[in-house]
Amino acid sequence: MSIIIKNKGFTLLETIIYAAGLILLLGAMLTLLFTTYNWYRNATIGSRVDQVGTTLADRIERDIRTGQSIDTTNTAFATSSGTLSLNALVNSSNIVKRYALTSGRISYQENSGALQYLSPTDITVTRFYLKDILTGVSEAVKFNIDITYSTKTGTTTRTYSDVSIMRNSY
Amino acid sequence: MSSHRYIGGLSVVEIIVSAAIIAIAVTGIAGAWQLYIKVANLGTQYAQATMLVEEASEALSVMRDTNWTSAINPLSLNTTYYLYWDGTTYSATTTQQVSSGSFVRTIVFSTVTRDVNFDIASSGTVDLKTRKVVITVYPLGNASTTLAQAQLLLHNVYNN
Repeated sequence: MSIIIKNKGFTLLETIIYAAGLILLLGAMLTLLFTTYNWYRNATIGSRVDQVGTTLADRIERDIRTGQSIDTTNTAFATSSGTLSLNALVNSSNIVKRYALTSGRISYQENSGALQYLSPTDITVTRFYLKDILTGVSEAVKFNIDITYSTKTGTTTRTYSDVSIMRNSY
Repeated sequence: MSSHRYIGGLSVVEIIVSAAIIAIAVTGIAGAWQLYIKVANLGTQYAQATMLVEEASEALSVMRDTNWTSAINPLSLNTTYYLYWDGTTYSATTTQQVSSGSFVRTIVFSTVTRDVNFDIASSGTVDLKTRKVVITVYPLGNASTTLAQAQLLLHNVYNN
């Protein structure tokens, strides 16, 4: 019994064409992946910042509504690094709620409890501006939260503002 | 018995067809991914728009509490206004204001009519101490797309 095996290899031309095709394909795929990754990062960081900003503003707005008066000694209005200390009334209980900008993050403290951070570590809050509004029959607090983030195209600052009347101030 | 076995590599045509299939698949996945991101961003946009509506609602209450006679009463009916913050207080202006960099928020006041029982009705006597307000938020440059809208009644409860 004899077995004849014919090993037919690539010609030089075929190899060159194959290698060139492979390089082009890899190049196209890498470019596509790189572009998509950058686009994804730019798209998601903005959305994430929006989510954080909107959630913070919503939380602070709801808490201001429970306010009865402002603890002016521990409140800093009209400054970039504001602090809000509210005397709130929740279920007939008096609670001091304190919001501040601490090391680039919004922090919250209830009475003399532990400091809680409401914004994540990878999102930098660059400004927490507060302003009180006295209407004559009620008191409201307006606030702005600035969040700054960087992408390859540059640095962006987004502002999230809201206002809330302290319902127990009427 | 003799056996002939030919071991052949891929032809160029096969390689090109394979590459094309891979490219189409990758492009399809990337497209689906981009669509997912756009939809996710749209959700955030709606949340922001809703927050702007809430802010406007509170701001209008602030204006009412401050002085109905000077802040609310002089505003023309069925006219598009925009909320303006001057650093101290809120007011309504007919000059377009852009909110959060990419939203436009409009406020339109209209009358409220009441029947003989003082219930709100489609016709009757105009209640001068109440305004119907429609707050609308849309993306800058696309007024036909409403992201959030609210209707509320503003009443001069403090008779000021």
